[in-house]
Amino acid sequence: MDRFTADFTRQWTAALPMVSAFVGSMVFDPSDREDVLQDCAMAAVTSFDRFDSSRPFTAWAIGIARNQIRLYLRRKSGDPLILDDRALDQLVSAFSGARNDQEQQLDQLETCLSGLKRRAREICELRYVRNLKPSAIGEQLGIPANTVSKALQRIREELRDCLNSPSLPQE
Amino acid sequence: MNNDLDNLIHRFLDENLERDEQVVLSRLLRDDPAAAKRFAEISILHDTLRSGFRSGALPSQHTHATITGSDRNPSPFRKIQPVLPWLMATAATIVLFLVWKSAPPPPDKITSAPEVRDQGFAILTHGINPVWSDISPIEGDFLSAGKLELKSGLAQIEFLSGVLIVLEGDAAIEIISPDEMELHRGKLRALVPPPAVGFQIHTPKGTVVDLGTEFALNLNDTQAELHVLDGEVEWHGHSQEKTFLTEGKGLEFSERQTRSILADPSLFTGPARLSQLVAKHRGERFRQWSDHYEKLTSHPKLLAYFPMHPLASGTRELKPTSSRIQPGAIVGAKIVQGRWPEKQALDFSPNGSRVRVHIPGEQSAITYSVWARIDSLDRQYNALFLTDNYGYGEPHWQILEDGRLFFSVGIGKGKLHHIFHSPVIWDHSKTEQWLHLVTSYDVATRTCVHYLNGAEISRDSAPPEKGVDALVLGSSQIGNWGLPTRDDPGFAVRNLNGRLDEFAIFNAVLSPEEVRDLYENGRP
Repeated sequence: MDRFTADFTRQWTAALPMVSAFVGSMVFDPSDREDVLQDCAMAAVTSFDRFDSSRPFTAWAIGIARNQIRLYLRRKSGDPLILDDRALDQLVSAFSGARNDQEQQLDQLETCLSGLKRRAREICELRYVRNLKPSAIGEQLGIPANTVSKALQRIREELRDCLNSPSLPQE
Repeated sequence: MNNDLDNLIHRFLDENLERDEQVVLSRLLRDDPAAAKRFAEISILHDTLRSGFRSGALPSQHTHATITGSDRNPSPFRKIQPVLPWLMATAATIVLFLVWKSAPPPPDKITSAPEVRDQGFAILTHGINPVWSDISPIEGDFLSAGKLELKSGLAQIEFLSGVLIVLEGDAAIEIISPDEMELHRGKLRALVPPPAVGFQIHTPKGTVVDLGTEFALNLNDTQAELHVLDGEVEWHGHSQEKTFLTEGKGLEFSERQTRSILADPSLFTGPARLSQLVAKHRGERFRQWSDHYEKLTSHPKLLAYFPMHPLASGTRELKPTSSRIQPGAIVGAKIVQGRWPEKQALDFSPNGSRVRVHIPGEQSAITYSVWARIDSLDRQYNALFLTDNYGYGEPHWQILEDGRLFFSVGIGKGKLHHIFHSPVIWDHSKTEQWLHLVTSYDVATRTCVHYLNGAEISRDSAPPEKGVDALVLGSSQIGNWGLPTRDDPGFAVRNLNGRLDEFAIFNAVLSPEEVRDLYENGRP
């Protein structure tokens, strides 16, 4: 592997989790999401020679992802930009400044999930394992979609509180 | 961070947000970096869960994914491979691992805003000409543990346990908890609904324990009586066993003995009578304001006055009292009840709400006066009255999200203005209260004075380099700021989440006495 390739690969792999979260927050279809991520990788590698190495790579990569998301949303007929350009710019800054402690948090999340009540865990898995929207989850469980929405919010808040809980073992 | 924002973000990520709500979310994100930060935090957790479950890093207990069609996991490199075989050859393993096996980071330290908390055991719900000593609560105030002395007038207090008491001055009480209080002197009538059974009132003569009823106490220098008006109470005297008393019965306590009496409800003001008195009192207050408002229209210092009375349903024009000022244009804001049932106000909570006005001329001083009932301060800046732009001499009057009044005057492009902050004038406990807000500014002395409910709360002067030659209002807005243009269709979200009633601008600095007079004649 030449130095250019090695350098790009190292930085891209470090930035990818955050780029993935950024793309995933606006591209909902799983297949489309992966397409956009690949477009991001292609755009990043082809312009990597113009990257100013004194600046944070993740912020640069998220900026590239922003443009790819815009292109994707415009391409997708009948689905105009859901968040305007300036909102996207704010999100680029927010994601660029977010912290990144992946595997440790994943371990903690497993502990936190075990604390969820059975019904909450079921809703959580229908959302994330089956990728069902609240309306489909509601149909399956016989409850209104808005109730599912509220439950999902509560579940994430509970998990967030658990992740921040001082009683959770910190690695 | 407010609950509405969180709710919008969560539902956005769950693809359960209406188009108009998406517009609101987009504006919030655009205008508030803290909102964008919040979005990122929640999104990261959302993405961690999604990739964690789908990669198997998080175990599934209830569900087994059926991955077909668009839900399948396509190779993340199927598009890159033909173009960049070198990348596939060298980095695929790492990238593939990170895309599918490693979760994007959940937030390192997701900070959650502290839950809004109130403090108090009871709420002062009505007052008829109440005169308090020391602590002077107003309607809507939470009452914490402690003593209260009502010199005269009537007050209705609702305990959070469900108990309602009507207190007649001269009276002194002490609130101990939602279930317990002490009556030192005065007349009191208490309604105790079933959920609050067991409510106790201590007196110098003993303790009443309610068993689900209505009773009254009268304690003064010469008399001490307990009247059971409905149901049953338990009386615990200091030197005797407990006594059960039922409806229609009572006790009279003297130095030497305790004797039975017949209960007499006519001696005490109850909630029904108090409601009638409240309605009558409000009618009188409204008539007092009506008389005052007629006089105010000819006030020599008045520059523009929008009394918001009358405000016909459906009208989109806000009439001033002077023909020298053009009517304002109501945009978005709803016509709602003002300080009294007979009086209207404008609710600026619908997104984009504002009243566009034009105030011509230059001023050497101004005083703003408005009544505000604020539901929440969930924007960084919550508009009261702002000029369309912020050029030299243009003043902005608003409330910060931390509850402080904020007044400033533009001193030219690129120059840093002086900000006149007040102490905090609003917090969550004041949600139902009408507040009288007044701010004055004098060009010559560069002095700004803030008032709350007729009382001065801060006074500050800017240094000479932060002064201006004159104040210019021109095209301005009540309750919002910022207009979209063809090239820039976005605008800041600053509309006040609440109601405004009776807005006046004076072209002079009003004296503290004049401000007090505005408050006394306008308070609901």
